[in-house]
Amino acid sequence: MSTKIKEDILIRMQNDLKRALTKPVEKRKWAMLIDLRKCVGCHACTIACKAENVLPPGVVYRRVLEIESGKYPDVERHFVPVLCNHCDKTPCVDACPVKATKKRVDGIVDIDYNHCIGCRACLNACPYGARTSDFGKFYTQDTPKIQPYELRPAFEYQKKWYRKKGNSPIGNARKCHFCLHRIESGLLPECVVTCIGKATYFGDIEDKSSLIFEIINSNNVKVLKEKLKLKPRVYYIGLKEELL
Amino acid sequence: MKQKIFLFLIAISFIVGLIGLYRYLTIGHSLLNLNSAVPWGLWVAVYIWFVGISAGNYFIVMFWNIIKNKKLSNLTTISAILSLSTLSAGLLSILLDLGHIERFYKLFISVNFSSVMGWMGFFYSIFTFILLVTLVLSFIKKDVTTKFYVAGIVISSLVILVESMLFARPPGKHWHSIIFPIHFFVTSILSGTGILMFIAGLLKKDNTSLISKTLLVLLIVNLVVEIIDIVSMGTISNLKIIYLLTANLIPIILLILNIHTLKTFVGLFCGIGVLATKYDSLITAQLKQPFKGFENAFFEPGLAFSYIPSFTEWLVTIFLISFSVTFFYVFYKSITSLSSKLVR
Repeated sequence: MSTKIKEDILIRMQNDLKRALTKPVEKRKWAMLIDLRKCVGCHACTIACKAENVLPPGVVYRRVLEIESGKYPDVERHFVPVLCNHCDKTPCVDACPVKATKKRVDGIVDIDYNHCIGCRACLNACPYGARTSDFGKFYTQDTPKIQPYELRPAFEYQKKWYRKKGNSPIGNARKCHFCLHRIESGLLPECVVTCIGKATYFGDIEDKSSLIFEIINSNNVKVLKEKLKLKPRVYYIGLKEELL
Repeated sequence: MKQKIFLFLIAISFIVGLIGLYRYLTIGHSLLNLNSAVPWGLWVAVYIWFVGISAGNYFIVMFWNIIKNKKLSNLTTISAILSLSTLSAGLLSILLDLGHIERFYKLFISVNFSSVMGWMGFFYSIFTFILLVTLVLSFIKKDVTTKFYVAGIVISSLVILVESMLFARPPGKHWHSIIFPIHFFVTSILSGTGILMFIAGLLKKDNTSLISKTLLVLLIVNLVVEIIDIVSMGTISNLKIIYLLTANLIPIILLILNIHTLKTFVGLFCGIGVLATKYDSLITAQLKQPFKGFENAFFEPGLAFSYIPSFTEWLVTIFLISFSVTFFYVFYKSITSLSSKLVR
């Protein structure tokens, strides 16, 4: 007698990721899928992202919208995580006056922190409100000592970033990069592994054997603000745009 | 005596402003009340206001030169100095607003031509060049062809329009409307003409009544544009109501009543009032949330959808205004004394 144990989706995505990394970078097309039916609105992804990228006050890469609809007794609560959509048509890249932000060949929109002049034009250009600016604040700045957890480096874009006055990323625009530093090390983005409802999927949509490809093609997926035709790379299952 | 009081006030403003500037340069952006929801605040409003005065007053003087109104065209030198002083203050304002001031040179060596901001460095450079040429030509009293004035009108118009496109372009913002560039254009010429009338009045030029007629027309056009803007937005802020009453309707009434002694200050009021409407347009659009419930999705300092300029922001604004006035005063005095020496 044999019992077939269903593979955990995180292990499946991890294996998909490893397979994608064997391909040349230009053949990978990273995308994220959020199944809103499984999101419980715990905000664990937001906090995990904050910790992973050592984000200061006022900088957040992923927020979870909480929307109520209906009238008592038929009421519903909807949770919609929003982040950088890594659009194919990028208003933020067009707005940057010094080419500090660009669309990579693998689909990720990145920021060159050492090139960004901090004009914040991209913040106003993004229709998703996905970008925030690092104004150099610390959570513990008004206490006797800035705590060490705020001074540890972030590893964004595979470099060590210490937040010190005058040094990037202070003064820069900041946003989600699909945890590029983790992906390149063979790890899934932090929000994906932290999601307690396993509502967030990540992978290479060019890989037809990947879980994300399978789910996107077997469900009615939607994107945010479709009317803008920016071709986002973050897809949703169960999205009710009329509520947003 | 009046001049001494004026110089004293400017010196005080300069020193107070310098304190704010020093604090900002040593401590940094954390002193500002900017946040990720409103990343462009008072200094950006001051920047667009200064550049509006710079291009707006030059536009109107070039127009007077084309129609060969000699009483008005003799303001060309003052206009060029005013444009240079306000443009310098405007650019200084936006430079201070950058997260990395030391990297501003990248605007010239790594230009993204799909970005409106990327084009600005070039437009400002051409405009500065035109202003310097105008100054030299008016100083040596050389006859200038109409083509030069037309070029001046085209460049100053482009400076205003390109700047307005910076705001009108982003999708999903209120700026993303056709009325914004028109509003920008009218308010820029209005503020330029108002400040020019104020300076002409202070310097006892005999052409304030002619300038006031232009200003009256601009105020009426501006009122119409403001009403269209309010209707298209569907809301009106308290600041906008105060602006429309004090810097639009009352000046219109005063100019129609033709009270000569008040004209100088009507010009100043119109010029400064435009800062209020530009500030209002700038901030209101940024306060619009991209999604319902976005403001409360994650709440912490630096993410609030509200903005009131900090004390440091006001101090640096005082510095920028006093810098502009000092620049104008020193430049104007130098030019006039040099001119009289040459005549002698």
